[in-house]
Amino acid sequence: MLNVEALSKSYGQTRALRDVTFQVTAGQVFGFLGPNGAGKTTAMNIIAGLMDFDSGSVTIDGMDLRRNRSGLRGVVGYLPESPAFYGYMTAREYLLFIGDVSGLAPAANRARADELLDTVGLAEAARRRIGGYSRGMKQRLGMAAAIYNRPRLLLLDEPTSALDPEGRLDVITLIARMRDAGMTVFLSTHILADVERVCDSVAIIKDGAVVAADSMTRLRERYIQPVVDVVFDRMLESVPAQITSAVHVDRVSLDGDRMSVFMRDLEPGKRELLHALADLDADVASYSLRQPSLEDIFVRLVNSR
Amino acid sequence: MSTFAAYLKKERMESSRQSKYLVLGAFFGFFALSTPIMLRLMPSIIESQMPSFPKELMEFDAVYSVQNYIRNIYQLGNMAVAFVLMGVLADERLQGKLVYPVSQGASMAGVVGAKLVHYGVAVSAIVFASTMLNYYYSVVLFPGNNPGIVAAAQSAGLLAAYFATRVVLVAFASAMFTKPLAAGLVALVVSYVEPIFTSLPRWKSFVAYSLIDIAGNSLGTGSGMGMGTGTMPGAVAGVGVGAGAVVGAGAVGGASAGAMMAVGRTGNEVNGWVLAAALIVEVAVIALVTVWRMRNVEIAPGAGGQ
Repeated sequence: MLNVEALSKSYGQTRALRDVTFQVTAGQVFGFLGPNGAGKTTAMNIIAGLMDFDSGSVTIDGMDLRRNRSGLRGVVGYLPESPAFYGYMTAREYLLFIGDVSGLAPAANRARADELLDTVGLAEAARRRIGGYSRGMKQRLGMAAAIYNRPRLLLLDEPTSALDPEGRLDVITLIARMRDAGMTVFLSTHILADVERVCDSVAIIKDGAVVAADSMTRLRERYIQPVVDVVFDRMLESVPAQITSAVHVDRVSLDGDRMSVFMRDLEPGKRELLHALADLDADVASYSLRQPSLEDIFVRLVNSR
Repeated sequence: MSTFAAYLKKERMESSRQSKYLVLGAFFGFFALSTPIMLRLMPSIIESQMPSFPKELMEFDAVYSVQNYIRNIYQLGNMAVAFVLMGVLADERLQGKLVYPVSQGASMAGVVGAKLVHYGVAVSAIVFASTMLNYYYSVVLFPGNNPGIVAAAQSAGLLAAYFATRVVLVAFASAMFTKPLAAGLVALVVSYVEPIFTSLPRWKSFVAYSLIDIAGNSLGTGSGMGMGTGTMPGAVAGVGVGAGAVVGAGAVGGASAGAMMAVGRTGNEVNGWVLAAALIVEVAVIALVTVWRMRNVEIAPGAGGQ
């Protein structure tokens, strides 16, 4: 659906994007992660056709973005991080305006506006002026405007950042519904829990370069170091030598009665650790394999390079 | 075409809800009403201050009153148009308001075209109506030397066409500059520098300011201080940025051609047909450059600080 190849963009002397490459498969929710200033919004503005780039290529649905800029408008829906509207319009008037721009017939336009106002939970506030909306309400309206034309590729830049937990859950559910309806969603966010909840694949960007891009499953396999947390029934003064000398153990951290064992290889490491624990002069209160999270991958990748 | 129609509707709504019609209407209307009243009161005021001032210099008629309005509204009206419309395109891209329409397939030619037509027609209509209002009050307050409603309508049409060219000029500046104030000031400077070119015989038929000259002179000769040509306001700086002579949207260009057809050669050394053709071409070129600029400028929020 979306193929980004060696994309580069500079603002004067600052290189915002450096040879960014990733692919998004049709019908997927693709998470785009990175710390502030990493280049996420620049990349999204380029893919949305709102900003030019220095080199590389962007292909959407097999069409080169540079050669088919006008043809691709309408194929891509975009929710910017801070959506801007005409404050003197009501939400319904704004959506009808977007429908008019898209060339929808009046009856279809009215039906679509009402349907989307209901979908994003703004039906009751539909006739209030947007200038009086909260940031969260504007974000919802932005979502409705972005999907108004039923785009095949939807770009969402921090769609949940201004929402309360309930609103966040609504948006995540909406994203999942759009994926189920066949839409491809490109989601930039710093809320990693949202990504874990809904994304199929992820790219992590740092200083304008992609440091990892893969499916969630393969990222977990590749980047998460298995960790076993052991709690003893008494405080330990030091890490027992039987554990540090184990072949498959990478390193060990000790905090009172709690020990975290970072494995090089999980399966043989677990067996080796159990034997070592059995030989210790201390009873084990609990033994658990830590559940890997995207945050572990993110922190590790962003901090390690 | 859907973009043009959608933006035309949006601009009407915006102007109405943000009171742009009201501001422009009140501004032009106020001066249309106040200038003949002030002119009527002027002899009494001067007489009370300077009893020896020759009375024959203060015998004004309706023609002079309308000419006086035209001269004043050139200076003040340019400010009103520049400051009310300076953000017409700059604000849209500065605040990222074009992101949704453009990503939904809006054409920039439609966006720019709708704005030019809407504001060109709105400003022209307000200017025409206010000039006719001024004519009416001038005739009421100064019964002698009535220029006639046809001549007044011709002058009003020419003045309306001139201000339509200012709309295009301000929109062009608004596309070129990110900051609306910079756009407004540049458009204002160009409008105030333009009269310089009317003092050059070869240029006279190519600059929009000639419309102001013709609008005043076509009323005939008024009694008073006469209609000065090439009036220069104080706020003129530097050399003009190109000719800057522009006429509003095609319809207004047609109106100006029609008015000038009636005026023909006015004895003002300006060929009405050449001026109409030149201004229509200039407007078309500036409108196309505005569209080109908007197509190529980055419209993402916060992008492109030229």
